[in-house]
Order: sequence, then structure tokens, then C-alpha cells
Amino acid sequence: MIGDRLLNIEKKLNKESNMIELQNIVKDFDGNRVLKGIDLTVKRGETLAVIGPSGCGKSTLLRVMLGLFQPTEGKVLIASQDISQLDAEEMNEVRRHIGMVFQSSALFDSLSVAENVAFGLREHGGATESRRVLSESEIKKIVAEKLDLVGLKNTEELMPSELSGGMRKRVGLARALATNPKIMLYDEPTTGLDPVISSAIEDLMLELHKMLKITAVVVTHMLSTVYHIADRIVMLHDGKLIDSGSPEETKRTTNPVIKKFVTAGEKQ
Amino acid sequence: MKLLSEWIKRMMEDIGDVTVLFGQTIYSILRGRFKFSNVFTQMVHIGVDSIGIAVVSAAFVGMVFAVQIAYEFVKFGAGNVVGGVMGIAVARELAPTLTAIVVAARVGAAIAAELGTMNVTEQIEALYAMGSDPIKHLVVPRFLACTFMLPVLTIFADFVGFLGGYAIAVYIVGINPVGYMDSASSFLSMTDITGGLVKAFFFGMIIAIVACFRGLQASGGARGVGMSTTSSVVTSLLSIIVVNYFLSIILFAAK
Repeated sequence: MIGDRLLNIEKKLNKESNMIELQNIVKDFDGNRVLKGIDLTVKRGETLAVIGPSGCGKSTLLRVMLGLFQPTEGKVLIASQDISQLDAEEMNEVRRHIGMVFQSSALFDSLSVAENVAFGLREHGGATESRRVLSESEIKKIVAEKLDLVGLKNTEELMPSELSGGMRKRVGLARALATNPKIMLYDEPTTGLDPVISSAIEDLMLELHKMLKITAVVVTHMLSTVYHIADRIVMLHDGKLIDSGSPEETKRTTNPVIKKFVTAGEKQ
Repeated sequence: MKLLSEWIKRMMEDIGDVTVLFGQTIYSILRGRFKFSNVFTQMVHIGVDSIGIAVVSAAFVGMVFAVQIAYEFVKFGAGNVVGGVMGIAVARELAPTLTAIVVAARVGAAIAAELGTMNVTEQIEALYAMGSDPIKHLVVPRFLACTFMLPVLTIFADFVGFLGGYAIAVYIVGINPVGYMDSASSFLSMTDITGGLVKAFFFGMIIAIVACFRGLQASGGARGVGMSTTSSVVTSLLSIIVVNYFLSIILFAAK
């Protein structure tokens, strides 16, 4: 029964303590090994930051977690469920509980702000956690709530082309939050934004994580963001992860690779 | 030699990938995984918005064809069959093929550019990330709209192309209008018209699936989108010309 299988996935997402587990993940692109055996566990409610220089494979790691890229080797477990074992429908159900904020915001150009935020709700028939189908008026209300949450009240009718970079990021955040995800994945959420807007988005992320008890993985090379929002930091270097501990521990690290990155980052 | 073998390998891979996309599209249609509102929007964009360009092209091609054949036929005393030859040429070949070429250039390029841009700006990835299916949202509506609107545009082109030929044959060359219409009605059968529409149906499928495939394949920013758009038009046109030959054999050679 499809309904039972999907409900089972939802139950696991509500219950399991390990929300994301990567087991020996290897990823090759055209013979080039980008990820060389990644082991990682993200606990429920934790905000994990993955740092590293541009082009080191951070975004690839995020896409592997979401099943957008198939790993060459290894397993991805979301709430203890091996996602390679899921069919397309089950995978979509898993993704319904994961929100992703893209580096470029990735808003749908041809849809208004409201339609972008409502997209996930309409896509799944407006299904809520209990898979109850939402009416159009309920969807409209949720859209207004989420836009209010990210500080973009009354922007429903605007088109993405009319928004600034910071506004686009916030609409992307509202869209990702619309389906009340259990897990949030952020790909460079503050890169390219001025310090004031960056700080505002970081505050927003922090508040949302606390308020909605979201498990989050933030991929970035912006140390200000990492120090502000992360519970734990790992660094991706040469295709492998180095555990760096809490932000305070990272600042005091003696690991030469992390130290070099952090020192360079703090000078910026 | 190495370049040739690489080109053949790439072409075979593309044919395989297009076939897979076509299969997935048909599967989604059969499972009813699409929204009628999206199909309707695309029908307006692909069909209604293309009427002007299709009709103008058909009128001038009909007129040029009439100029080319009418004088020659009259020279050989065969002026009374010009209407029939025009009718058959327009219904079987000129209207479906020319309309397909015009739509491939206008609509195919637009589809490839739109989907290509969505691809390089992570919008396609965002669809997957939200548990959605780009085939359902993007490919199926365009495929259905193109497949069903191209025969409709061809009907318009049939009329206008034939009338364009009539205007030249009657008012410029001086062929008897009754003779023109009589020969058309005795030469032209319903199967000529339906055969042309069947061709248009297949051409519509080719344009949509090739354009969607090239768009979804785009990578590498603006240059990649430009390349996928050009490639979409070139591949569609070549495919239409080649498929037209085989469809002509299947539909009309036995007659």
C-alpha cells in the first residue's frame, strides 16, 4: 500500500534521532573523485555547518543528501531509511519533508512570489503532515504566514525579476519552509549578500531552527554565518571531512588545514 | 576518424536519451500526471500565438509554388490541372512541413531556451528538490500542446496555402477559377489532407521532445543555453526532413 509506505516514512522522520547519515560516500564526476569516503551523522535538531573553499564539493555533498546526485559508493540514510531503496514516489515523500535553499535562490521565473511559495503545497495536493489536502484559501493563508515569517509581507504578487538578491533568498527560504520540513539544507545562504542582509538572514535561520525544531545542514564558506548559526562545524578538505567541533572550538583549533581556512576567513 | 567515432557515439547516446525522455513523457501522460491548465497555457503559446507566422508563410509558399508551376503547366497545355497539383502539394507536403519548420524555429527554440535557462539557474534542480517531476511540469504540457496544435496550424496553412496559389493562378496567370477548383476537387482526396495532418502530428512530437531534451541537457551558463537552443532547432529541422521522407513513403507511396 503506497499510503502506508509514505506514512511510515513520515513516522520515521518524526521519531528517529539520526536525521541524516552518510556512510562512506564516494562521488566521481567524469573520473574525478570529488568526495572520497564521507561519514557523517546529523542529529535531530542540530545545525551542522560544512565549510571549505569554493569548488571543494560542498554543494555536491548537499545534493547527495537530497538524492539529487547518486553516490558512486556508499549509503545515504534519512531518518534511518536508506534512500537508495526508495522508489520515486517514496523519494518524493522524503523530499517533501526536506527544504532546500539554493545558492541562486532558484525561484521559478514564470511564477509570482505567492505561486513560488505555494508550489510545494500544490504539488503534493496541499497535503499536510496527516496528508490532509489543503484548500486554496488555506494555501493562501500559509503563503502569507511564511512570507510574513521572512519579513516579506504583501509581496505575493511580485515576480522574481522584481526582487533584490536578499529578497530572492528570503522568498527561497519561505518556499522551502512552506511544507513545514523536518530538515533544511542551505547552499551558501548568505553568499553575495551585503553584511546587513546576511546578518538578517542568519538571525532568521537561527530563529526558525529554534522555533520549528528543524535539523539543518548549512554549506558555506562564510565564517560569519557559520559562527552565528552552527552547533557543529565540519570542514570538507580534499574530498574528506574533518570534524572541527563547535564554533568556539573551531576558533581555537590547532588543525593546520582548518586554522589556515579560518585565519584567512577572519581576515576578510 | 577519432572525431567521427566520437560524433557517432555522442549521437547514439543522444538518441538513447531522447528515447528515454519520450518513454517517460508517454508514461506520465498515460498515468494522467499533468495539469490541464498547464497544457492549455502551452496550447495558447504554441498554437494560437503561432497562427500569424504559419499563415503568412503558407500564403507566400503557396503563391511561389503557383508561380513556379502555373506558367509551365499552361505552356504545356495542362493549365486545367494546376488546382489539383496545388491542392495535393499543399496538403501532403508544403503545409505540414513548412508549418513544422516555422514552429521548430519559433517554438522549439523558445522551449529549449526556457528550459535551458531553468536548468542553468537551478530551477530544474529545485523542482526535483521539492519532490516534483520536471517531466510532469515542463515536458508533458509542451509535448501535448505541440503534438495537438501543429495539426491545427496545418489546417490553417492548408487553406491559406491553397488560396494563395489560387490568387496567383487565377489573377496573375489567368487560369479559369472554375477549372482550378474543379481539378482540385477531383485530384484531392480526404486521405491527402489527413495524411498531411498525421505528418504534422509526428512533427509536433519531434519538435517538443527534441526542444525539451536539449533544454534539459543545457549546462554552462548563457553559452550553454545558446548552444542548446541552436542544437534544438538544427536537430528538429533535420529530424523533420528525414521523418517526412519516410512518412511520405508510408502514407502516400502506395496510392
